[in-house]
Amino acid sequence: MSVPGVLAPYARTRAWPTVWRVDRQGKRAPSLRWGAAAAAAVASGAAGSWAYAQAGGSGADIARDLAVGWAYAGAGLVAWWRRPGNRTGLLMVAEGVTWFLGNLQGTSVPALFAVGAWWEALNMAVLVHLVLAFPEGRVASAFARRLVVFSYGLVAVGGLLRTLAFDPGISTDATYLACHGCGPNPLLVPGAAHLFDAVDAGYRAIGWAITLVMLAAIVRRWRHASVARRRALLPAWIAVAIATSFLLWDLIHYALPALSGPAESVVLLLSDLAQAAVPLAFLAGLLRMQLQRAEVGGLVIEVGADPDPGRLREALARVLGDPGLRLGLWQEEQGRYADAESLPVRATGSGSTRVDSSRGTPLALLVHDPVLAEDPELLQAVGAALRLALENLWLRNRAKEVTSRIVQAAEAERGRLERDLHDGAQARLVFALMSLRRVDQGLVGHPDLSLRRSVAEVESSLKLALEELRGIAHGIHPAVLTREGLGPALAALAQQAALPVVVAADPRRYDPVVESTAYFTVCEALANAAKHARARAVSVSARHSEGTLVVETVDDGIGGADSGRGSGLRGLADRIAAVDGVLHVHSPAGGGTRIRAELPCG
Amino acid sequence: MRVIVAEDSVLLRQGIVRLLVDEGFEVPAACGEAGPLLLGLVAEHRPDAVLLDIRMPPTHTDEGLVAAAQVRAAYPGTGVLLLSQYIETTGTVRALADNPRGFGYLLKERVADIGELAGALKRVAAGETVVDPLVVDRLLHTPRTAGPLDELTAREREVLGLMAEGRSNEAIARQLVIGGKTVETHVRNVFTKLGLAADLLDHRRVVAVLTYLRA
Repeated sequence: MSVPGVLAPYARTRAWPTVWRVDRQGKRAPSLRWGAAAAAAVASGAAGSWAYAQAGGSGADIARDLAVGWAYAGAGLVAWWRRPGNRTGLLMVAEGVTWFLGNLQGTSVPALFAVGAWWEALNMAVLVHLVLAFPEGRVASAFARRLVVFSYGLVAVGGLLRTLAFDPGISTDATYLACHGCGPNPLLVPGAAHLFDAVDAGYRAIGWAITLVMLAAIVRRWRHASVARRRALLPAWIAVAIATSFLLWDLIHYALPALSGPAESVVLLLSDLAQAAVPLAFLAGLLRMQLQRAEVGGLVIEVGADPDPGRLREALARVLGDPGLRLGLWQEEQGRYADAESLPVRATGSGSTRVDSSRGTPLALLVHDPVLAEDPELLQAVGAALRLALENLWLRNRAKEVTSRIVQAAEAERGRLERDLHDGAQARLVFALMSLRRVDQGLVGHPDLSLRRSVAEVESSLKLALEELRGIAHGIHPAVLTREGLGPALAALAQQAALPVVVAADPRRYDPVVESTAYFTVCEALANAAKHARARAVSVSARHSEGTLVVETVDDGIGGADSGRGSGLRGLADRIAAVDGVLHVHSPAGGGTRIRAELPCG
Repeated sequence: MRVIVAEDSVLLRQGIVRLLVDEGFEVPAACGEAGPLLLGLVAEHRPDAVLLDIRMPPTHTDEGLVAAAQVRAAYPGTGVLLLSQYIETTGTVRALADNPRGFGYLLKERVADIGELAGALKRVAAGETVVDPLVVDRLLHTPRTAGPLDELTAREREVLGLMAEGRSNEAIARQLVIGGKTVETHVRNVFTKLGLAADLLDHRRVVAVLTYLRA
């Protein structure tokens, strides 16, 4: 089998990005390829165990061997199933299948012996491939790619050369198997057996060299990796450490057989146990990112409560495991993304993710570790959460902006209306009254007394109209509020109230909208106290405390006011909410009513 | 008697001027604003009284009040009669308390009653204090918990109200058609019951009474 042939299946997987296909019923079913891989792993394990038993392996040995191989295959199958787009799973399955090849040297079937002897180290080449491809599932750099190809080539060529000189009858301790009656080797070239030691030494030396180069490559990757990537690379590190220790032991065993003899079984056991843990570590590293997606739900809750750009970035960095993450929010005026410090944030190839609003306009740009691009689903989930949070923030700000504009416009409109009444209708009515007085003067001594009576009637009508007009204009917008502020306006209100009202107000001015909201809050509360609460006295206070105007109206009436029922109180709550304030109504039956409005006033 | 009228509504201004002229007042000037123009006119004509609206351009808030204070500071002998659309007790009473001499405050529509307007103008020109009956009425009828006001007789409350409007004892006697001695007795009783100094006269008496009513 040639090296391209070994790699070919991986290349083809590109065409099947998912192992699970959706059938007509909409259920997910494992693909044939996945099933075939699982079957291959089972078959390979069974064949390997049978061969191991043939070589006189104990039950414990076989179980240990099977555990490691199937751990790779099983973890690989899980990884393949959960991360269909990532070839790491497939590589792990390949490691699990090739794990057992060396065992075939234990049989007396010549063909199987030949395959076992030749491809004994294939799993080491797969491991090199796996370590260098982890966690993306593909070998990124050209150098690493060359190293992988070279590893497979070494096994194919070096393994063959070694097998050609391998006479199991002579080199009895050349394998890890207690090989009695193994073989014969059908590939043995007659007369080449005396070359075996030299070929074997060269084969192992090159294997060592590959391991060291791979080690160096990984150290280099580690040094250049971000925290997020280092976390993902950790299993690869463990694998490398174990492979190294295994090879080290192999070297000692080879160079000084007498020294390693007594400790051999212990080292072998530890090595195998650690080996079995490696695929699980790979699987954990691979699935860790999937677990991160589950944290995205928490992200939504967290940033939904307080979408401040700085905290948003921190939450995202935590969820993505990338402390160097930069979050740029779209600045419409500048036409660019900027972070919490207003520094521009720019896209960088695979290490950035754009988040657009549901209307397609730019919202934010995440500049992250390129390794995160390997998990597009996590980025999509984070993007969705971010979109939700930012659109929510945008809508909230917009709603606040619009409400505030409406409230201000309504306030200005009321002021204008009141002035129009004052300047227009009232002036005309007063003028009419003046003219009428002149008419009345002219009628002094007129014989028709009914004329003067009519004038008197019109006059009283006009006066009534003036009085009503005054009331209406005052109700629309009390002039005293604009001129003198909340305190005097509340005092004036108290004078006109139907019941005794004590007013205590800080002598200071607020924003007109805030003053007006506070004033009408007290109007409504006084109306409630007089009409419904059967109160005997009311106390009103307006105090400024830490950027908030607190207006409180307390009466000694029957209580039982409900902000949810009474339209007056509900309207009041809306009016207060429009200026970002809060209304508290405390009105226990028989315990008076306390209406408290907290209005932010800068 | 010379009066300057400051009223931003042209219609009303002309109406008031005509009424005043008909009533025998001399109106050397009238204007529609309460700023430097008015002060200039006052400086030029030195009137006995100025009649002005509280709400004047440009902001229609307290331009009239500000102008009144300026006129009274510059020309203490000139009476100022303020017109207001609303019965406002706080700001105007405060202005009164600052300097009650020759100061008056009437509801705008009172200008239609030339007798009332003429009387008020004459009184402020003479240094007296004029407070609109509706202001006094509101002060007297502000709902309050039990207090000394409850101890006043109906007649004493009437007298208290007229005192608050700025009326002298003689005016009160005329209004109620009672003797001067009787008025003095009522006034003394009111002062005793409310705990006010009994020897106050004219505008100082008005301020004391208004301050008491506002408390």
